[in-house]
Amino acid sequence: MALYCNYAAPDYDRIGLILMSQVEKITGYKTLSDFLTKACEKHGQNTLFIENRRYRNIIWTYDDLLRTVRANIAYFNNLGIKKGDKVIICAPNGPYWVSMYFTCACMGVVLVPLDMGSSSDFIKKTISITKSKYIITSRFIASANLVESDKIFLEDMEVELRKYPVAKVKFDDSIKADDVFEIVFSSGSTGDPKGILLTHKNVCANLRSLSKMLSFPKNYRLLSIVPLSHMLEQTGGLLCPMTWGVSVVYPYAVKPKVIANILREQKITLILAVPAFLQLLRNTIERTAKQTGKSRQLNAAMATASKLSKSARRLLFKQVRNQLGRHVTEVYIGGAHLDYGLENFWNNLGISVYQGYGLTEASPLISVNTRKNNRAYSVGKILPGVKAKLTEEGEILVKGDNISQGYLNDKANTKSTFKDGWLHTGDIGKIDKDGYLYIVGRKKNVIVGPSGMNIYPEDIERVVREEAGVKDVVVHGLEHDSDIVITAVVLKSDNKPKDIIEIANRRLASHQKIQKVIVWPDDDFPRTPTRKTLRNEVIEKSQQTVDVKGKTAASPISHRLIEILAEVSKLPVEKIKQNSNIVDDLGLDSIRRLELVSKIEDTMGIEVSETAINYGVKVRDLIKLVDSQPSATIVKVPKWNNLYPVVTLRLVLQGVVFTAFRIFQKVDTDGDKLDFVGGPYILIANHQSNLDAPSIVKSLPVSARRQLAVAAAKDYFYENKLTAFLSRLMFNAFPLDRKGNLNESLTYFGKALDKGQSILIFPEGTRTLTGEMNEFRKGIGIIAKEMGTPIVPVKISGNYEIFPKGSAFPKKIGKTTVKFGKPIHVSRYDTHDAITDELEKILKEL
Amino acid sequence: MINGLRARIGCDIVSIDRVDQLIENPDTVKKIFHSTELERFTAEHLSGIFAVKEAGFKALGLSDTPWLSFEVNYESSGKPILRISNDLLPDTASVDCSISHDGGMAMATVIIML
Repeated sequence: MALYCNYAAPDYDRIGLILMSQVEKITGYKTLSDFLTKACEKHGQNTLFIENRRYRNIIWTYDDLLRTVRANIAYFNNLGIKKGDKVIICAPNGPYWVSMYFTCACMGVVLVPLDMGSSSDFIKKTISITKSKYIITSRFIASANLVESDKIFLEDMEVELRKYPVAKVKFDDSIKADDVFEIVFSSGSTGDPKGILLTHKNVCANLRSLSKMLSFPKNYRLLSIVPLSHMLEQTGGLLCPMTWGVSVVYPYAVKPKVIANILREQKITLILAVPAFLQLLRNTIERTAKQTGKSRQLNAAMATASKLSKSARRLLFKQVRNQLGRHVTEVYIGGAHLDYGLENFWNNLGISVYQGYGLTEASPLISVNTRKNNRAYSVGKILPGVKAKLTEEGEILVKGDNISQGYLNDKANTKSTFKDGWLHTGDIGKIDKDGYLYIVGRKKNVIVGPSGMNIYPEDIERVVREEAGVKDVVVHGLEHDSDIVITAVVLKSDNKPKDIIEIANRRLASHQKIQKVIVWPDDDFPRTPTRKTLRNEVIEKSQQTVDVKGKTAASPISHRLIEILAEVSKLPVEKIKQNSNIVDDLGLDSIRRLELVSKIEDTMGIEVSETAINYGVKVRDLIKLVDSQPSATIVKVPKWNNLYPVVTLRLVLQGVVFTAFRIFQKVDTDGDKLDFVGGPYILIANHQSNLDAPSIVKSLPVSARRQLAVAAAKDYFYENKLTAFLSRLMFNAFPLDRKGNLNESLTYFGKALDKGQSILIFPEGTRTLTGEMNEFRKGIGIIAKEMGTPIVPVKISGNYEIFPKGSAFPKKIGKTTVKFGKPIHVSRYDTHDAITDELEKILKEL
Repeated sequence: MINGLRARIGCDIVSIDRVDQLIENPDTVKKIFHSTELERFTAEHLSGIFAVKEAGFKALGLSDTPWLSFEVNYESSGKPILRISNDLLPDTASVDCSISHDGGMAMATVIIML
């Protein structure tokens, strides 16, 4: 569906800021459907999203989004979803998520976004409270899949939507600004979910205020990390970029290592994240410095950096910045308190960090620091259109069009939180004479994980008290080796800490799971005269015990890894030695090994292949593996063969060759005309002779020849440097590894297709010896599925008779026929084998 | 050896509860299962598929193969079919598998002719 096109790498930084005066933002919208229409009118063919799949980067323009929304509306109509109905969305970020968001906005369907980590119980509760009709989700999310309800799978949409013509679809124009647009839930799994009602007016008001404070040049690119189920990402990471025509990149995984690669490859300029994510990214940088023996240099540079100007700092940290992509200039932070040390670290690198403050009830932003008005420690100035004041105790109260009207079916809470039109935030703050807001304390104890997931200690505490036979407990996010560890501080009980973790975790959702239990040394927690626990004292004291312990640890990584191994193998830490074999000594069977992989990935923010942890591996190897986490195998794709003069030279040389071939070969074209409009395509052809590729190229119009790359056997054409060079020059060939390394080939395919090039491949893998078509190799099924590009079958006949495999010269003079079939859309849901079989059959019958 | 072919057998037994816990993490699900295998998303069903794959690894004596190189589908009669979909693996002449569930466990046997 999305348009595949050639996009130029933006060149921004300061040039961008100069151009800013020419940018016009979108104004004058009252509802989100209004906003979408205006945004698409203004930016139409501009790039809106870059959907990063493992091997592809797919461009979505504003028009693509609009077309998808229209098709969704037809699809919803067909399912019987109508205005006023409620629909849950619990899925990873991506263009289809956004299309659902706007579909609901344009139809008056009420959207209920949920975190991906929500448990099945929580989803069930939400369904019963909201009476939601459908769950929009992904096939990979167990909790949502296990709930009995009608479901829509985002992965299926691309194929499903082809059935719906969009020409006659109109937006519902009876939608009013005061209609509820979404219900956002702000509680964990065990508490009663609290649904915050937000209207079009609320969201639009916040967006308008934000757009008055922040502005971005069009060529900026934002990386989406925070889940779209959060208002922060919806308003700050989607609507605000759309206002300015900024593109949003959706990564296929939110792991720092993957993110660092994407920052570099996609030339990201803007990041919106929560502090915990910045911390993870910082850990990755420091780890790399350690591996390359540059820790000391990094620390020394950090110490001097604060005295230097911004551009000097950028120069000083060039290496680090290259690791992150040189383009990152601004990072916006929300969702939780930003540690000053962390803010400093990033500022030292020459990357400006701007902190903001908000609440879901405020859709969500209340204040934000900006380029012009930025003050350390503060969360910035109050947004225009938002009124704020402090109570005598310092609680922040806010008022404005962005403030929710209240909670769903919950008059008591609505009354206590929204008094006389003022939202009581529960946070304690102060405002300085210049109008900057500072957060001094938070009434609510929420822990924010790296992905932006809110974890409510109260929910976990309830489970621990009820299930684990503990008198009282305080749960908090302990800072340990710069990670946040969910820790339960418990009063003494009959249960061992290990048992408490196990019992409680059975009931907790995956993001809520307790990672550590500390037994409180005294008989009771410090309490107020009214018997309320003094949480802060408990937290501070437990943090101290860990800080002391942490210093004796060997090295943070091995220490952390051994803890994880102990947890997964259920063995005491002492039993885990450097030379323990993970299968024989630690008893990790395949399920445990998979658990280990996911634990390592989640806590350390890296990607680990499950194949790397197999029978022979010892703890020592594992530490090495994690410590020296190799950057993703970088496959270098040469660029010279696509330069304009080279392409022109290629066309000329091809012409010469074709003329020479005319001595013994006449080429006829049959079937459909192929011009690559609506492409790129993957061309699959039967393989009779070395003349095949030239014959096919000759049958294409010149405009198409410019955009064709040919997959050539690596072991045949790339052994020798001269043949490698000649095949690149003559046929824009790239190596296809017949023996395996599929990853490399897929990367080549992806990059070529992203550039708008079509690819010719011979799925038999080798030339026929009999004249009959050989069986296809299985790789083509994988390629077709991973690339998601239409496939064009090409049948060649005659070449076997002229120049078969094994002969050094043409055997006879003859006629070659090249027949093109119709493009085939491979469903991404067929198995690799089924796709291979299907393609083989189609080509045979062509 | 029959006609130059060697039979290889592998079996595996797995607790459905453990698979239930394992599939909580979407990243892990992505590593093990193809989307076609997820169309029926129950721990019991997925345990069977899991067991077939593990049995397949054992039959081939492979420990460092990606889970996704095996794909388990069902015939309309309900019989599982194992497809080995990766060029890396040795050429297999014939493959068959069978799954059974009882008492909270799923087990599978795989026979491969090489």
